[in-house]
Amino acid sequence: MGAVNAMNDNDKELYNKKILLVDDEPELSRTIVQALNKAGFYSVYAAPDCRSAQSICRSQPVSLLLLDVNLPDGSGFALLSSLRGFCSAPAIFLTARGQEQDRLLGLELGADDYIVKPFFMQELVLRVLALLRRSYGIKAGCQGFALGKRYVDYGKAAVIADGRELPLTAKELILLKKLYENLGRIVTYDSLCMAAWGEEYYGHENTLTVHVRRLREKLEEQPSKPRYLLTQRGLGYKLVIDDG
Amino acid sequence: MDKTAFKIFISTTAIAASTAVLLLLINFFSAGVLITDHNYSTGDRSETILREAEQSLVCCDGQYRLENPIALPEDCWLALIDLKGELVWSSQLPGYIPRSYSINDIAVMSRWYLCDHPVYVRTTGLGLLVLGLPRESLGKYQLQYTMAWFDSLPRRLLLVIAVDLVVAFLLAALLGAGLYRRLKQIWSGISSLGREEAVELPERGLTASVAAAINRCSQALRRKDKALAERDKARINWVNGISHDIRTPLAVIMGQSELLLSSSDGDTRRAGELIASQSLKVKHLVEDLDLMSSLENDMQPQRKAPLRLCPTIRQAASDAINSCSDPGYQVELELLSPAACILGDQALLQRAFFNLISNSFSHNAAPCTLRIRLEQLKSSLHIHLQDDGCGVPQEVLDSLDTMPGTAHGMGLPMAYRIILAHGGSFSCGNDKGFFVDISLPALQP
Repeated sequence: MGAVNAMNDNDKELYNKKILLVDDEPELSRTIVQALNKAGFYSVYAAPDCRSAQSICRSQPVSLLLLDVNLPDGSGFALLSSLRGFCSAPAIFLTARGQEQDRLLGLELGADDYIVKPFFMQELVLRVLALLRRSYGIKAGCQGFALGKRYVDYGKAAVIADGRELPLTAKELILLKKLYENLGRIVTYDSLCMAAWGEEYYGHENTLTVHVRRLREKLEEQPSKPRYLLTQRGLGYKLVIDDG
Repeated sequence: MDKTAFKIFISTTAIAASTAVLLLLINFFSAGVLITDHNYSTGDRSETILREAEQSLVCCDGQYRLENPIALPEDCWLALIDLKGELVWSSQLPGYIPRSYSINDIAVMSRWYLCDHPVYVRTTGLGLLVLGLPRESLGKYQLQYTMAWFDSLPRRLLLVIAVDLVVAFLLAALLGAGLYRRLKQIWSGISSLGREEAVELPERGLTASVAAAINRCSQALRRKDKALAERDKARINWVNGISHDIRTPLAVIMGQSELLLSSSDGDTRRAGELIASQSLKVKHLVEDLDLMSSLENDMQPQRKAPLRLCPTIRQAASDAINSCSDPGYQVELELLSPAACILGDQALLQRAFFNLISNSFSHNAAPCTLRIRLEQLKSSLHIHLQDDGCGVPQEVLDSLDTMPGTAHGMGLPMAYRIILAHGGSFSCGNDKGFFVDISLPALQP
């Protein structure tokens, strides 16, 4: 994958946050810790039960809680309630209980997110990042990604091609970010329009085509024969990063 | 119910009232017949004896005798009283009958009894002929009415009949009302049974045994409902338990496959891709199992809202293509009514279309193209899905409306249930591949 993540001070602050994972399944716990470590989070603590979780929370400041619901010595819901007495860290429930009432109960108790197992680790990492940024007011670092010989710079809102900066409009940047978040996957016209124009996006489909054409002019060597920003006829667009 | 019960009430009242009136009329005429029945009267026979005696009795030289014998019953007697009040002739006369009579005696006796013998008299030229009948053999009554009574008799008879009719109808209505009330209770009990509600009817009166039978039926149904609810609960718990137990290890498998995906070694990466795609299939199966279970127990979608169908179909198609690594699987959309709206549960409908598209991909070898056409015709949306694959086995098509025995093959029945739960229709078959025709009620803007 040709993505390049440039870490700045903001990112460092973000990735230094302490995360407490409470899950009684050692294999899953290890996999999540591994995925978070790989994403850049090195202060990840794992607790197999409520008692250990409370002990860790009391001994050091925790910035984010990842809680399983079914724990050997109680429920994750009860644990969150008891932790709320002295710990206001944002919380995400990771649970195999996908029932509507469980989700609602978790969110009512003050959880910030609710992820039903099984889930992709990439999704978990993205949600953790988003929640930490939202909770601690940390702006996204200057990031970007490479497309062949060109580089998309989020911070500058521009495509760098042969040392030249090709500025991206706000809508183009939103669309590009959305496509990059779903790299290699089709993103429907509707999802792209909703990202750019919100819920009332109906009627903007033609405008979307214009934006995509302009994006291709900035991203592609040959805009008429796109290599990165591909059209999926009738469905939407797909961003692919061809390493070859 | 009220109309039928009212009919029963009217019929019962009419039958009871008619019966009462009929009986009244029969009795009325019977009374007339009885009164005029001479079989029980001795009047004619006595008159005959008296007439024969008068014709036969002669007086010769102060001696009275019968010229012709008459058939006088053994316990009856005949006597002749002359104009002076003296008993001058008799036949079979008991000894205690007086021999002379005053005018008062004659007046009393001629109308009533003589020494407790009912008597009939006949005036003859020879004197008063008296026929005595056996004691206590005849009741004699004297009825006397004014002519005004006879004049008003028809009117009073009509009045009596009218009063009788009114009373008969009132009594019948009273009887019918009671029956109506009981029938209404029975009716309401049976209706409640039909609505699967608990019934407890009062077991008394005419319908006690029917009410008791309905109560027993209700109790049996309640017991059965309870057993069914317990079985359903056990099944839901079982499905939830299985789903829960699969989800956690699957999360580990998916997590590990992602780690393999980031490997620099090509073979390891491909192995990671394979595990990830297969895990995704299991994930969808588990989600299908949960959804099927909840649809089985509560067919109504919980979160219905106005929904544009085109984005839902596009998203389902994109998800299906995204979860399938082979580029040979394609979806061609022909969405002729881009603004078409329905009232529906977005997640459920997306799942239905995803299942249909995924089915085509997973049961056909690449290349396989699925064409989806959406068109609004008046108040309904028609969606036609057609692939160019090898079709679906007939037994799968035949068992659309039954819960499959295994998680495999759940996609199609679930899509069917979701469409039906949205008030739509679903038909499918094989024609140069597999096709599905769906229609859903359109939401008018």
